[in-house]
Amino acid sequence: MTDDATSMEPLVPKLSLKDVTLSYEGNGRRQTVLEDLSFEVRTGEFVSLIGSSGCGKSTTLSLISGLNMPDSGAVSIDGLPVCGPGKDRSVVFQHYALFPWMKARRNVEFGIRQVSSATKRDITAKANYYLARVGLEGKESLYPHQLSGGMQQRVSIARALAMETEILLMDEPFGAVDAKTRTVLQDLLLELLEEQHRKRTVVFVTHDIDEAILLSDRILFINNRHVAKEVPVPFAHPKSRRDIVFAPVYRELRKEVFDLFYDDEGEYYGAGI
Amino acid sequence: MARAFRRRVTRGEARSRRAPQQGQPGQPGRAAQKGQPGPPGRAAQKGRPGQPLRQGPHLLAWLSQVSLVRFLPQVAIVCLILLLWALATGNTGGSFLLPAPAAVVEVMAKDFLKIGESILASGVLMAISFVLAVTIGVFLGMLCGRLARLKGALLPIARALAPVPSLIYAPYAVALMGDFFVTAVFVITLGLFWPVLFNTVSAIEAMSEELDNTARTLNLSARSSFVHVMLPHCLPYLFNTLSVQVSNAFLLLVGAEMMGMTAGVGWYVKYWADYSNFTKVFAGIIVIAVIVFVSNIALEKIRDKVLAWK
Ligand SMILES: Nc1ncnc2c1ncn2[C@@H]1O[C@H](COP(=O)(O)OP(=O)(O)OP(=O)(O)O)[C@@H](O)[C@H]1O
Ligand SMILES: [Mg+2]
Repeated sequence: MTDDATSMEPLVPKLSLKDVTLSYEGNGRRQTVLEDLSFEVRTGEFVSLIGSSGCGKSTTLSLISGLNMPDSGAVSIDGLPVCGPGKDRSVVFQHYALFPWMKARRNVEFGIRQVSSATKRDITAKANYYLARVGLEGKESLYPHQLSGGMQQRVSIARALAMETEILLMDEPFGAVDAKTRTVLQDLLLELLEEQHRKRTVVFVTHDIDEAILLSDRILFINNRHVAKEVPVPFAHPKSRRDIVFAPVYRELRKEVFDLFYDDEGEYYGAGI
Repeated sequence: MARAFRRRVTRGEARSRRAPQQGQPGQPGRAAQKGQPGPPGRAAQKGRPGQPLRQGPHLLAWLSQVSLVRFLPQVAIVCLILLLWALATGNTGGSFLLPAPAAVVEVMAKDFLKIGESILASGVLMAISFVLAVTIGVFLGMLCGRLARLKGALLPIARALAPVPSLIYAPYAVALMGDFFVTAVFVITLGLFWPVLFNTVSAIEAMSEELDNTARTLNLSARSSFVHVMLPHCLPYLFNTLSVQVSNAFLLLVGAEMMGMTAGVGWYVKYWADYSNFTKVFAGIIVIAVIVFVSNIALEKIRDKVLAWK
């Protein structure tokens, strides 16, 4: 399995951020949010970004999605610099954004239509399929305002999944759903990625340590405006929640990630940068 | 308050519309679904022996629910005004400046051909102007929302020009285009255009960052972004603007029809005011009031239909 992955690994990584610096201008002040941030993601890899609130996780995703441009440094996909949003990426935002004038199904169809030239019927079928997978069967014809927050978030997850792009960017996608749905969606995501032969590369932002361990191949801890620590997650694919949670290494891994949030004196890294 | 009131009425309306369906054979009515014995629809037919008899009370119930109940406050106020008016004129048949209601009604009946022609002429004028103002205003507004440079160049000038009453341009428009109808369209369109433009620009500005980012990451074509994102986003703002601008549009209409037109509700009032025929002026004013009232309701209906997602 591992041998297979290494032998197939291309020379250029799927995604690479190199010495990226980005600052925001606000209230006449310049605030550097990311400085010399670098990391690479292989094809089919699942990487989680964790870090305290305000450390720049969403900002990092916005660079990859092409919504933001770095002040210096380079963001590249397949070795080519990113110069804007592209059809090879789909995004689930932290603050889910559906088009309120489109019914749930239309929202998903609209996403698919931007990246695929399939017939209307195929697109509808695919939209229905993914909506059913996220547990929204029977809700396809409702407008977003008729859905709960968690349901709306699931529609936006369905939209991103249904677009079947090579790169999937998810910013705390399960933040707004209840604990039960959250585990269901985590399992679903693992399942879908596996079904699609782990061709899709995922960058995932979360605050939840267990979620990060369960889903990722690698966890990047962002602090002090760059990747402060990298934690490989050693579980073999296909992953199962049961195997992972009861593995002896799980507790150690959990402690390792947990401790990242505290400095040497045991102080919690606050929201400040 | 008003909303709850409307909802109640709509429900009643829906119920009374559904009623005949329940009686149709073969189509399980609501009563039958509740588990009542007997063939479907029988319960619903009880107490309504004959087909012709049923229509009468049904229609009456519908009318009373829709028209009377819904417009009860308005009807009451109108009745009050009519009463005061009738009292003021007494049974003298009214005075020169204040004709009696009966006289006005008589004039309306006598002059109904010209009034009808006027309503038609004004309707055409209004419809063309609304469509033009909305199309141009929304399109330019969205373009400004998209192209910051265009907005920077255009908007300050537009804001400076907007307060100029569009009627002022009328003589120049006549001189340039040589047609009174075109001039009238121009005057009304321009008057409506400014508010539509400004409101569309601020609608685009008010678009949430999340929605904007989503649209951007979906890599929409310019056309797709206009048609499927910006336009629907602007619609609620547009309807707000239009409902405010209906009365403004009628003010403009009266002004625009003064020049060279030979029919139109505005023309009618103005024409007979010049001849000091206040009975006809009153008739014209009532016609305008009714048209504005109906236009507002029509606009509201269209809005409810188009903005079902709200
Ligand atoms: N549009 C913006 N303009 C100015 N400053 C911004 C902007 N967006 C983010 N910031 C600042 O950049 C920093 C990083 O923000 P970011 O949203 O990337 O954090 P985050 O890690 O995603 O936090 P959270 O976990 O709370 O979502 C914050 O301090 C924030 O104040
Ligand atoms: Mg964030």
